[in-house]
Amino acid sequence: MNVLKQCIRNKKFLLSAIILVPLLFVALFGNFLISHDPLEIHYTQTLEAPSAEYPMGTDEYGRCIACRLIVGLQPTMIVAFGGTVIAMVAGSLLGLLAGYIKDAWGNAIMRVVDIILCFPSILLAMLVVGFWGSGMFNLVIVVGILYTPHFCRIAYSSTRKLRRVEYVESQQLLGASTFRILVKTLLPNIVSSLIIQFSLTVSSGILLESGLSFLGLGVEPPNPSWGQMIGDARAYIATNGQYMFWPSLFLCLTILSTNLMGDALRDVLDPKLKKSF
Amino acid sequence: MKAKRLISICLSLALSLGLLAGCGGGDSTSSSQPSGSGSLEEVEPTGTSDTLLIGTSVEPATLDPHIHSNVSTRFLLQNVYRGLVGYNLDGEIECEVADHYTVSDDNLTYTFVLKDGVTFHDGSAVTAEDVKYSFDRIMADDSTATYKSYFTDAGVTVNVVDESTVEFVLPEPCAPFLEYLSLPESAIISKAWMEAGNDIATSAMGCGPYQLVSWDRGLQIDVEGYDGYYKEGLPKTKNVSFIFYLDETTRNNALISGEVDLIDYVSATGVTQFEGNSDVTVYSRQGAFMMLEFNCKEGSPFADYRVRQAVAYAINREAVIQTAFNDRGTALYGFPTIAGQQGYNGEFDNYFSRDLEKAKELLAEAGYPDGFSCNILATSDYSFHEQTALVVADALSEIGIQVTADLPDWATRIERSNTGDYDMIVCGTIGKILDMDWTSIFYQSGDVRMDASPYFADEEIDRLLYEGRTILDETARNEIYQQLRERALELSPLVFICYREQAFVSGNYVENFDFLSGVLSQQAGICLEQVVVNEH
Repeated sequence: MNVLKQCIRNKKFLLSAIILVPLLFVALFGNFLISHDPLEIHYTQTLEAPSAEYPMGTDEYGRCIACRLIVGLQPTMIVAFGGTVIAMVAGSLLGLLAGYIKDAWGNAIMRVVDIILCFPSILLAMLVVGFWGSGMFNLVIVVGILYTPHFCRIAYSSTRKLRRVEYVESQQLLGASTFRILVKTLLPNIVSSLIIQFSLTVSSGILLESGLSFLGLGVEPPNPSWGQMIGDARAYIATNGQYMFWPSLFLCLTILSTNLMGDALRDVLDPKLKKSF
Repeated sequence: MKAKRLISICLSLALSLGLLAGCGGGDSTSSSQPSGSGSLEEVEPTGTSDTLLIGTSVEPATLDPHIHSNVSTRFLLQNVYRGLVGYNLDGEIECEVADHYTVSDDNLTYTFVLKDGVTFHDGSAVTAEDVKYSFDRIMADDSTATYKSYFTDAGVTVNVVDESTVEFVLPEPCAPFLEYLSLPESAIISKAWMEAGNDIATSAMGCGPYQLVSWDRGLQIDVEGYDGYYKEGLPKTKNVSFIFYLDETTRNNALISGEVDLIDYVSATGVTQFEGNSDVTVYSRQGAFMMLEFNCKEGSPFADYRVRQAVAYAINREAVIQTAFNDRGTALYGFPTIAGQQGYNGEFDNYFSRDLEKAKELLAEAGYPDGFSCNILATSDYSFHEQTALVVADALSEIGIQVTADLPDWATRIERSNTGDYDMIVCGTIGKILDMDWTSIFYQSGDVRMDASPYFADEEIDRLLYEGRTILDETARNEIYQQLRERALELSPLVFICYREQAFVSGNYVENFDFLSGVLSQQAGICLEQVVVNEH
């Protein structure tokens, strides 16, 4: 309860929530909010300026930009959230394990993780999409693999610190299974850092998916996604600037607010920061 | 998808190597800047620059002049290589390497006498032996020459009469034969140079106005005027660089910022954007057209001509023009023919119209009252291809045909079009020669190839094409080609959508750049030798 109160008092948290909550709502229920079919072509109304019928104008096919933005959020969010959830589950379990078991094995796992971390994420994503092809499912997996190391490291370092403390050792003496110790005893200790990492990773995931779609390696047309819309709008930047403005604006806002959310959660949850207040 | 993957793999490897190399440093290839290369030469007092920088849309896959890989590469190769004859800027066939030629009374022997003193870039003379070598290479069994079939179908034999005289002997008359020889891909190459083991795909040595200086992979190709060129006083601009800008927006910006003097493949959106700008000159010519090809393999719905006709009735040509060509194009409801071409009288200009009821009826007659599902192949590399595909798919959904767009990169698209790996494909193409015989590559039965619908075969069309080619009487040919148009529209193995523009844009200080509309809109390279770049 204390945490919730602190959150509400935190300005960053409130600001990002004001942006993020509607966005999540749109991502979930976007299909019911739109007035036009986002794939329907109106060839007599291409590249129109904003009007009552098309609040953000139309694209080169005469499709409603606002509707495409609403529908295009969904694939981005699925990829970002789905990938991050996979990364969090896989990464924290791997990290707990690596921190808890024999040093040799733990080291081996962590070095593999370090190798993945060496690569710039967009590069690795292009490589994986190159091998497997694009598509929503593959993108989720890609984001999942790419961000596993981040969670893994957090879980690993916390577990290393905690594995010799008395309450863990007493559990070991009582004969608790490794799994029980990892999940029931160690995991709750690191949940707060994982949550902070989660919100930061979501924003990276959104950016990554948008980047891939911008390059034509993400969501396949005619289905919309924000990155792809920005890519398409480039050709019209001189003649119809607002076409590029809208997807870019919303992408900026989304990334900004998820990052702010991460900061706010850190302020609230991180015990080290709390002491300094 | 395969090639797109490959590209992304290569890209990422290259990038990661680049990261590593970045730490080392020192090894980066310093490209000779074209603007600098001219500075050692004496500056002409006339107020003209000796360097022309061209922003081009593609890096050549091969420099082999007998292969037509794309219009941008053709533009370059037309200036390195020349043939016996070629089109001039009035659209007439003119002697190039040949001094003059005679055609025998039975129209079976074409004798060419070469110009005195025509030399290849290495200084050696162009001989009859080189001409024979070039055409034998085009017609060889293992040849991949793009227009090989023109020459093998005509059954040509090339004989060397003496050092500077060569004759082409045909078993039966061939009305468009001179046009075959005028194609840029009928280039003359040096026998001695080839036999010395040079790789014609990566280097070039011809007898055209420009000789190849260097090819910086991934960056640019530099050519330099050849002093021994057989046209006195040409080329007018000494150095020309072809700089690769694969991305259209980047290419347009390169012109605006003055990095280059001329750009090719400007899209309709780009043309609209440039037209209001007084600093640039827009050259835009109509001629190329968009069409659909169908895989007519047995068992495919498109094997039935009624389904293909239904598509022709259902697609929305105005919508394609509006979305893909920014309202710059002309709808094609009939057969793409240039006025004046054999037998053209406009009769079939409105053969199809948009009629969804009729389309549905035709589908029902063909046994698909509820439609079917299929794919349409296009590419995400050229936006107008992608846009055409999506608009066609949208229109066909109205008659129950559910179309999925397949949008790989251009190289994959080409590979799949060569093997017929699609149900329906978007093509942006053009007749290759001025004569109505251009249709033979598009309609004749035979191997699966780029510009024809796979597995389509019709005896009557084959007969008409054969007669049109071998009968020389113009009145008879007019009649034959009119029949061909009607039959071609009835069976509709190709469904035509609209004419589009081929456009270049240059700085307004570039003079004498010019090219023709129609078929020759894709032979803009012939004007380069006379282009002048004024001081700016």
